[in-house]
Formats: sequence, structure tokens, C-alpha cells
Amino acid sequence: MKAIKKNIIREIQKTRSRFISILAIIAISTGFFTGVKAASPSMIKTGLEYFDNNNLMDLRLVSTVGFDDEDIKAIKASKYTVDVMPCYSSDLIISENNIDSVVRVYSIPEKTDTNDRIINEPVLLEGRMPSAEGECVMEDYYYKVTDCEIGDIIHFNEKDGDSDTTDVIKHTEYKIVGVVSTPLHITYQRGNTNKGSGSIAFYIMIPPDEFVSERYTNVYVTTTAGDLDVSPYSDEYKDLIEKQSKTYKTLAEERIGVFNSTTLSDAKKQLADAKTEYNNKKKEAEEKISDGEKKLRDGENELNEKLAEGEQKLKDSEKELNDGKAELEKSQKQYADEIDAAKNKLTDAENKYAQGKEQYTRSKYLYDTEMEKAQSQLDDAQREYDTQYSLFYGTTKPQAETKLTIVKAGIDICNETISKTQDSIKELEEYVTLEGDAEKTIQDLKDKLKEYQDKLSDYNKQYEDGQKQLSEGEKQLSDAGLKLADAKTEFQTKKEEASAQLNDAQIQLDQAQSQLDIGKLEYNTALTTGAMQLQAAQSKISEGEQQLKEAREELEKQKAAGLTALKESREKLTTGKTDAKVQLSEGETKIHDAEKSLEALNDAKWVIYDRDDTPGYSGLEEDAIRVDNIATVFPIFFLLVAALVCLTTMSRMVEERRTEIGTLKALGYSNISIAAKYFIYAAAAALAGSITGAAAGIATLPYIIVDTYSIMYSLPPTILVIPWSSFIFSAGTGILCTCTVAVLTCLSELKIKPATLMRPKSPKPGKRILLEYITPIWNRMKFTSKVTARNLFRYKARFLMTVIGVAGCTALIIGGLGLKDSIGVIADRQFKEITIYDQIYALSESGSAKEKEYLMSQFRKDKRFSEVMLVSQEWIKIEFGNKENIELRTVVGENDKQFRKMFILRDRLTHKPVELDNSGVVINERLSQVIGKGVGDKIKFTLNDKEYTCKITDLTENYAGNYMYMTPTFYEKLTGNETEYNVVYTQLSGDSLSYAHDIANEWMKNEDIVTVSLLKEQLDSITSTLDSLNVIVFVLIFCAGLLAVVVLYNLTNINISERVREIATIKVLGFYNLETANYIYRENMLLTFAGALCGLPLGKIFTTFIVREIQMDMVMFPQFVEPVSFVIGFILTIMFSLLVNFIMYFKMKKISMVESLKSIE
Amino acid sequence: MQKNFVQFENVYKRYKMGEVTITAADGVTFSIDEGEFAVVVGLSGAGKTTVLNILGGIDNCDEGKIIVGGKDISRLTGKELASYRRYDIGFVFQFYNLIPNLTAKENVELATQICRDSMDPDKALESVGLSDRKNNFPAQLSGGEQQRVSIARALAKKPKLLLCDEPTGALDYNTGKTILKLLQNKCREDGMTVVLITHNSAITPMANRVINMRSGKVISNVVNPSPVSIDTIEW
Repeated sequence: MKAIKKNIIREIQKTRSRFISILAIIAISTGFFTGVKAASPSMIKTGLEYFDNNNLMDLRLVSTVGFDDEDIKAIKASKYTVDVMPCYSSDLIISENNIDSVVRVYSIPEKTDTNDRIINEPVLLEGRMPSAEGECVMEDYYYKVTDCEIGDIIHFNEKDGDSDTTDVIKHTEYKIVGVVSTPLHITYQRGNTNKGSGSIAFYIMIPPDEFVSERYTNVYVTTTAGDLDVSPYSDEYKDLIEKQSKTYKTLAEERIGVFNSTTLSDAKKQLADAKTEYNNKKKEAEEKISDGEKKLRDGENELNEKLAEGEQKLKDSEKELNDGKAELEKSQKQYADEIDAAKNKLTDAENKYAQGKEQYTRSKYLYDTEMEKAQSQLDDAQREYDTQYSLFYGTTKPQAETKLTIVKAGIDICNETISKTQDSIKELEEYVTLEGDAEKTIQDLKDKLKEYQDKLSDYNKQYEDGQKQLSEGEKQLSDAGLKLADAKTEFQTKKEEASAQLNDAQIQLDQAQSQLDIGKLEYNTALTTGAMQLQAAQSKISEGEQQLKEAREELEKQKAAGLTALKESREKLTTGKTDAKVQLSEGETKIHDAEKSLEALNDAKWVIYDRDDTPGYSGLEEDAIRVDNIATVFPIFFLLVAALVCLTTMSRMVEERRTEIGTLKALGYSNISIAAKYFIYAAAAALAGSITGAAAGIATLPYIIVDTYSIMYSLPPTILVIPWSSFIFSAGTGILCTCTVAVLTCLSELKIKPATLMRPKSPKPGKRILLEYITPIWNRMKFTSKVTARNLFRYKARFLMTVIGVAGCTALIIGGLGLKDSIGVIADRQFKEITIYDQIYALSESGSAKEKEYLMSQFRKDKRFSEVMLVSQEWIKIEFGNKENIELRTVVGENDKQFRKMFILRDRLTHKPVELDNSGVVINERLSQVIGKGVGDKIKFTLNDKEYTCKITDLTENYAGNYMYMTPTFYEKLTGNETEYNVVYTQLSGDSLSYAHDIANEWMKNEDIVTVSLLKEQLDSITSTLDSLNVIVFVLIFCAGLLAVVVLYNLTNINISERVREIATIKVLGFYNLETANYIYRENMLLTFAGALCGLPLGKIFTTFIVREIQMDMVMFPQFVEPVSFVIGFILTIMFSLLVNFIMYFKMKKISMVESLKSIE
Repeated sequence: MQKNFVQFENVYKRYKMGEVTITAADGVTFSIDEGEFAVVVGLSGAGKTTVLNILGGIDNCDEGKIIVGGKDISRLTGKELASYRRYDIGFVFQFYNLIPNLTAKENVELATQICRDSMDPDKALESVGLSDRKNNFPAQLSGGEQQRVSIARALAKKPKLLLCDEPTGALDYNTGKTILKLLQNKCREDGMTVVLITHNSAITPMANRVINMRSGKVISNVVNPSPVSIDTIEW
């Protein structure tokens, strides 16, 4: 046996890479499986430990009227109760930067005389618990994500709605002294409230004595269900709690009964008394008022009559006065006219006189000037005349006469000369006949004669002229003398005439003056007299007016007096009335308030919540389940691939050791001891792999996954739960697969005779493949391709193994990516394509249909909403399978057109619209899957404790949540009740969250609106939940990649070792290393390609499968793989294959021809 | 015909098997002329195969010099050795080492497709008398036929040197004789240099040269001036 042992150890050493690859495959799959499997229980365990250590309540009781000590005692006494802890909580508003946020204020759970342990004990994480008044502790999540710090002060608004904040808690300011977490809030979801924007921003805790109220608001109860030795997430616990809560419901009814009979009936009686009193008082007051009103009316009438009389009189005298006034006006006008006429006349006369005077003055001036001028002209003429006269007679006449004498003398001379000459001529003419010369002399004489004749005529003429001039001068002078005398005469005459005229004018002028004076006098007299007369009339009228005025004043005075009196009495009446009214309305308000509070008390209700109603409590389980589902499906597939590869490897190994087996057998070893080697080899590899893998997996994966979730949950550090069963399962599978294969192959080999065994197994004969018969293709193929093609079909087992293994890895990668795609697409599909709304406003229950109509009209007026719809939404319960039930919402839209805009009902695959008519309901696909009812089936459900049955007419695409849609008509037909619309769905025209918040804040002020939920917030919470799944997806893809590498390595390894002889042969033939590698790799790549291609549809199927596994009752994943994911999956596989080929190249290079071809001697 | 076509000078080859060192070639020195039919004979473990492997370029020596056709092959790199095998050497193994997945003709083609100046595969097969079986897979052929395919594969490359490692070792007497006849004919007719190793000294008379080895050493290198035809030899 020792040799055998050594043999095993040597075998392992020699085939290190094979051993390690088996180990690695098993390690990866086991590690992945156990690691992921550990995540879910660790999550749950961490949560449960937390709940257990901090004593999370089993039931939470909330009363609309609060609890008193008697109630607490009764609860304590209930048979299931273990512990009771009453406490307070209230939602108050803080305003910061004009933004209202709601803060939930809890009382710090404390030990009271009713409980043994503190229930819901908070964990102090930082700082200290409050020790003085006005101190609080802050929650951890908000503390973590905002910049708020210990020492900060929280300021509550002074007013809390209609009442003061200090009516609720003692202070309005609280200083943060510490940070706590509580098992009541394990997620960052803080729940809804009917204040502010409807969602709670964060919570704080203050000591109970900081609360003013006497009645407790909450009661935490731990019940015997908690003592049960099962997980509180188990159905047993849930069933028990449901049963127990019924007991508390009964108790609640009892206590409400007590409350109604004591507190309530007292209040009712008081109210009734108050009402009667109020009514009596009201009647009295009304009577008084009506009396007063009557008196007032009478007084008013009297006054009016009197006033009318006075008014009439006044009117008459006014008329008279007005007549007089008119007359006066008339005579005034007349007078004015007359005066005007006189004045005109006078003015005319004056004007005329002035004109005359002016004329006279001008004439006189003209006369004077002219006279003077004429005088001077006359004087000048006289002087000229005198000068001329003296000149003529003194100088000119003697000169002229002298001259004339001279001329006369000349003339005489000339006459003489002429006659002498004529005689001479005559002589001469006679002589001429005698002498010639004489002729000339005659001629000269004749000329001389002529000359003298001419001279004579000149002298004659001169003389005559002189004579003439002289006589003319004389005559002129005499004329001038005459003229002058005439002028003198004329001047004298004219002077006299003008003088006379002037005198006349003067006389006329004087006359006009006197006339004018008389006119003036007359006018003035008339003026004065008229004015005096008028004055008299005027004064008479003024008198009349004065009298009238006085009369009127008198009347006015009387009227005012009357009115004042009237007013006073009226005022008195009004005051009385108002007083009465105020008193009455006060009374009324008081009564109304009392009624209202009584109403609230009337509807007194205890609501019983269990742990599932705590935000995040059930989410933790759901998330854990989701992780677990992935943890189950994925790694199993993983294990399958791994087992497959191990199987191939081991069977190959046994085959390789055929000769050895034969030899040992020939030596006489028993079958068992021979098989033991392979068994031990396989077991060692698998066991080592399982253990290392599981250790690595458990040490990393749960923390990675839970860490991701810790973004959403505030839980203490993760408590690791080692999933022994999963470990055993996966390790077992690995070990079993490898060992069984090893032993079985070995045993089958052992059946053969040792002699045959010791000879090498004859290589598989070559065979023609189908392709060769298609000669056109085959002949065209390259030699190497032919070899590859034939090889592929020769090693069918390896072909299959490789294809399956690679396909598996591709499918795993695509599955991971597909999961991510499917998850990622939910939010968008659901809230952008299927349910398209932004806000849901929950309306108060009490509103009447008319009020709702009015509210809707207000909604429609607000232009920030692009669409508003009234919806009736109710919770129903459907039972299915083995007494399981599911709760879901019915949606009944008021208006079909709007409903179709907000709820897209369509077929998931074809996107064809789904009809909603009056013959039945439409439910979503997931619901149909969960309850196992399809189109045409009858569905039974419970609504308001009544059962109804109706037909499913169609299914619609929906991902988050379950819904049953019906028309209002069908709803009424089915239930017999009128549709009670209780929520408003809106679509906003804007997109941002703050926009939606602002609008919500504004609308929350409306009394008829109870809460608002914003789709965006819902979306965020869904998205973050789903995002945390991404980590798992990445882990998955990583592990799938790792597996792909190992699988490919192993398969290539097998391929090479199986064909080492072939490889050596072609090397001997002179193939270079690269050629040799290609010879092998061509097949490898083809197989990888084929595998990866097969992996694509497989990946799709796998995605569908895994997605279907992880979806919950409430959520449907769309099972959707992005095309790019296929591409990534494919390419990754090819890359892994290339990587493996690269590694293998060196191995192939190292193959020794000598060793491999060693003749088997 | 070149003298000393193949020359081994003081060739050593040692294998380390754990702590034991086996000297497979212990100062081997011999030479073979071109065109000779040389037979290396010796007992099992005498180092014949080592010598042949080193000569064929599929193993390397630790010491010494091997000259083939004037080229020292003892210091070649892996790639150069591959080229040497590709163009200069034809190998015939005891167990034929045919690729089972290829037909006779394809096995030959496997060799010819990587050579520059190769024979037509059909002709190669014809020369070994296997024209009619060329489309058969090795499994469909008898041992002798397989060995003939193997020889055809080696010859098709037109090697300078044909190395045969116990080519008749797995064959029956008559078939073995036929194969040896084929090899002898190739040597005589085509002037091919053939180096054949065998443990059967009975066939030495057919060789031009007989090299006797024992314990990694050449103990004799005798030229046979008058080789006889294989037909006349019986054993």
C-alpha cells in the first residue's frame, strides 16, 4: 500500500496543473455558491439579532383617541401580552429656508411599571441620551446623510396647524445631544403622515415627560408569539400574530365601548346641554333684535314724513324767490342795455367832437402854415420883382439901347457900304466889258458886297432881336407886376375866406362841446338812477334768499337731528345684533368644535399593526429572499458546469493511466486499491477545492452583498451565518461528481484484460465526415481546414464538452448582464411607460361628492398639473393556493380617457392595448401568475370584508405592485355601491423633484387632502433597492468569467494532452511552434465560437429562468436582455478563450518530441 | 557523392533522472557518406535512438558537434531545428506515427504542404506501391501499409537524410522484409542517404556501413564494400 500512496502523491505532483484546475473549478463554484448563500441568512440573522436584542415589539397599537392607563392595564392583562410599553409620538413641522418638513417625534422608550424590558430599545451610536429639558437624540440615517451635528438645535414651528406646538410638546427647540438607531426604523423609509408634504423627513426622540398630552398615542406590545422558537419571518409566527391580533381587536372594541360609555357619553351630554342653552339664548336674542328693528323702522317713517313736509315748504319759497330773481335779472339786463345804448351815443358824440376838434386844429395849422408860406412866397415874389425891375431899368435897358444904337450905326454903315459897293459893281460891270481884270475885281467886289449884305442882315436881325427882347422884357416885367398884384389880392381874399371858415368851425366846435356836456350830464343822471333802482331790487332778493337759507338750515338741522337719533338707535340695534351674533357664533363654534372632537371620539378606533407594518421590516426579508433566489439558481448552474468539466478531466486522466492500471492489475492489485488512487486523487482535489473555495467565498461575498444593502438598512455589523447545508451540498456535488466519474471510469477500464490495458489504447480511427461528401465544398477547403473539420467530428465528446462548457460560461455572463438589464429597466418601464403619474393625493374620507367635485375643479384650475384624475383605490385580498393570500389595490378611474393616459394597459409582448369594459376586470400579469388565474377565469376577492367574484377579461403589463382595474360602471354593478373616489392622480407639467415637492406642500394645506405620495420618491426607493442587486450581478459576472477561464484551460489542456503524440509528430515533420499551435487552436477557437454562440440563446433562457426565480409576488421583472449584453457576453468568452490559448501556447511549445514519441517498448 | 556527409564528433547526451544521470551518448563519433545505407545496430539502451534523435533534430546534444551536409546542427535554435527537420530530414518511426484522422494521402500531404520542393503526394504513394489505398485511413491499413505511408510521407519531403527508427520493429517478418527492401531500393535507385537503427544485426549485410553501438559508445564503424540485397538475407 505504501507504494500506492507514493504513487498518488507523485501523481499529484506530476499532474499539478490538472489537480489544481480541478481544485480551482470546485473552489470557484463552491465558494460562489456558499458565499452567496451565506449572504441571505446573514442578512436575516443580523436583523433578527438586532430585533431580539432590542426587543422589537410584536404588535403596535395606535388609537385615534389615545390610550389611558386603564387601557394600558387592559392590554397588559390580555392573555397573549408579555410586555406593554405605552409611549408618545407626534409629527411636527420644521421650516427651513421656506421648506416645510415633517419630523416625527418619538418618546424615548423607557421602563415603566408595566414592562419588564424596554421595548424597541434604541441604540445610542454617538453622544449621550437626553438628561435635561429641551434635549433630544437624532436618528442615525439623517445624521449620516446630512451635515447636521450634535449640538445643533431643531426649531419647531410655533404653530402646529390650528393648535400650538407647545400643546403637544413642552418646547419648540430641542438640542441634539446624541445619535440613535431604533429597530423600528431599519431602512431610511420613514413612512407617511397627514401633515406637510406627507412624507416624514426624519425622527427624533425626546424623553416621555417632554410630551404634554396625557393620553398615550402608541402602545408597543410584545406577545407570546415572540417566545416561540421560530423566526419571526416564518409563516408560523405570522399566523400566530394574526391570530393574536384578533384578540387585541376584540379588546380594542371593548375598550372603545368603555370609552364611548364614559368619556364619550359625558361629553355628549354636556354637548346636548350646551346646545339647548345656546338655542334658548339664541331665540331670546333674536326676539330682542326684532323688537328693536321694528321701533327703529317706525321712527324712521315719522322722521321721513316730517322731513318731506318741511321740504315741500322750502321748495315753494324757493320757487318765489327764483321768480323774483328772474325778474331782477331781466330788469338788470334792460338797464344794462339802456345804459349801454346811452353810453354808445355819448361815446359817438365824444368821438365826433374829438374828430371835429382834431379837424379844426389840423385845418388851423394848415391855414397858418399855408398863410405863412403864401406870405413868404409873396414877399419873395415882391423882392424878385423889385430886383428885376431895377435891373431891367437900371442896366439891361440902357445897355440894350446902347447896343441898338451901335447896331443902328452898323446898319447904316452897311447900307452905305452896300450901296457904294453896288455902285462900284455897277461901275465895274460896265467897266467889265472893258477889262477882264476888272471882272475879277468885280467878282471880289460882288463877294464883298454879298458879305456886307449878310452882315447887314445879321445886324438887322440883331437889332430886331434886341428890340424884341427889350420889349419882351418890358412886357414880362409888367406882367410880373400884374401878377404880383393879383397874387396879393388873391392872398388877401383867401386869407379872409379861411379866417372866416376857421371862425365858423370854432363856433361849431364850441356848440358841440356844450351839447356833449349836456349829454354827459344826462347820462350820468340816468346811470345813477337805474343803478339805484336795481340796487333796491337786489337787496330785496338777497333778503329773500337769506330767509330761504335760514329756512333750509332749519330744516337740515331738524333732519340731521332726526337722522342722528335714528342712527343712534340703529347703531344700538346693530351693536346688539353683532354682540348677539358674536356670542351666538362663539357658542356655535364651541358647539361645533365639541361636535367635531366628539365626532373624532365617536369614530374612536384602535389600529393594530404588526412588525410587517414597520417600514423596512418585511423589505429586509424580501431582499434576503431575492438574494437567496439568485444564490440558488446561479451557483447551481455554476456547479453543473464545474461538475461537467471535472467529469471530463477525471475520465481523461483515468484513460491516460490505462497502462498503469493494466500493470497494477497484472501485478495483482485488487480493483478497489487501483480505483482508490483515482478516487483519492479526485476526492483530494475536490475536498481541498471545496474547503478553500467555501472559506474564501464565505469570507468575502456575504460582506460584499450585505454591505451593499447596508446603504439602505441601518443595521448593526453583519453577523455571519455559515450556510452549512449549502456548503455540504456544493462540496458534496463537486466531490461526488469527480469521485464517481473517477471510480466509474477506472472500474470500466478494469473490466478489460490487463494485457490489453497495457497496450496503448488504439487511437480512434479516422472517419470520413459528412462534409466530405459535399465535394464542391470539401475540395475547395484548405488542407488545414479539412484536418480541423475532421478533428472536430472525431472527438465528439470533447467537442460537446467544450461547447457545453463554454456555452455555460457565456450563458452565466449573459445571465448576469441580463439580470442587470432586467432590473435596470423596471423603473423606467413601470413609471415612464405603464403608470404615468407624478403624485397621488389621498382625499379625506369625509368629503362629499360635491366637495370632491369642487376640489377637482380647483385641481384642474392649477396649471401646474397637466392631467388630474379622480380614482377610487381600495385594498382587496385574494386567496390563492393553500390559504395564502395577497393584498392588492383596485384602481377605478373616474374618467376613461384620463385613466388611459395615466394607466397604460397593454400586452407585454405585443404592446397591443388591453380593453377595459363593463364585463369584468383587468389584472396585471404578475398577479395572474401568482394566483394562477388567467383570462376568462373567475377571480374571487374580499373587499371591505365582503366577498365578490368576477371575470378576468384580460391581463396587462405591469412590473411593480399588483393592480386590479375596473370601470366605475362595473364596480357599481359588482358591489352595488357607488364608487367612492378617494385619491387624485396627477401628472405635472414640470419634472424636478423640488417642483413636485413645492406643489405637494402647497396642496397639503388643503383640508380635504390627507397625504401626498410622490412618484419620484417611490421611484428612488425602488431604484436603490434594485441597484443593490447590481453588486450581486457583478460578483456573478466575475465568477462566471473566472469559471470560463478555468473551464477553457482545462478543456484545452485535455485536448493537448490527448493529442500530444499528434502534436509531436507534426513537430517532427518540421511544423514551427506557431503552426503547431494553430493546428490545435483552430479547433479550439471554433469550439469556443460554437460554444459562445450556443451560449447566447442559453443565456437568454437562463436570464428568463433566473429572473423568474427572483421575482416576488409584488414585482415582475421584464426578463429583458439588452443586445449589447449578448455582445459583451460573447466577446468576454472569446477573450477568455484567447487568454487561455495564450497560456497554453507555452505549454505546447514545451512538448518534447522525444518523450512523446518514445516507442512503447 | 559527398564523403562524410554526416559527421558525429564526440557527441554526449546525458539524461538526469532524479539523482541518477544516464549518459545516453558517451562521446559518439562516426561519419556516414552521402548515398550510403547505414545501419546502426546495438542492444536496447545502447544509445541508438538518442543518436538518431539528435541527428534528426528532435533532440539536442550536451556536447560535441554534428555536421550534416557541411552544416553544424548541434548549436541550432529551436526554430532553426524545425526548419532543418522540415527541409532536410525524413523520419520513419517504429509505430509509424500517422495522424489517425487523416487518410494515407492526407498524411503525406501534411508533410508536403510545408515543404518548398516536395513530391506529388500521389507519386510518393505510388513509389511505395500504395496508389490504390491512398484514400484509406491508417486504421484501415495493415502495419506494413502504414509503415509504407510513413515512408512515403518521409520521402515526399525530398529529404537529404532518411532516418528510420526500427521501422520493422512492429511488423512481421515478411512485411518487415518488404519495408527494408523498399528502403534499400530508395537508397540504391534515388541515391538517398538512409540511416536505419535496429537491434537486429542479421540485416547488417544489406548496409553500406554498419555502426555498432554499446552503452552510448560507437564500438565499430565498418564499411561494407559489397552489400547484399535484402532478399538474400534470412533471419
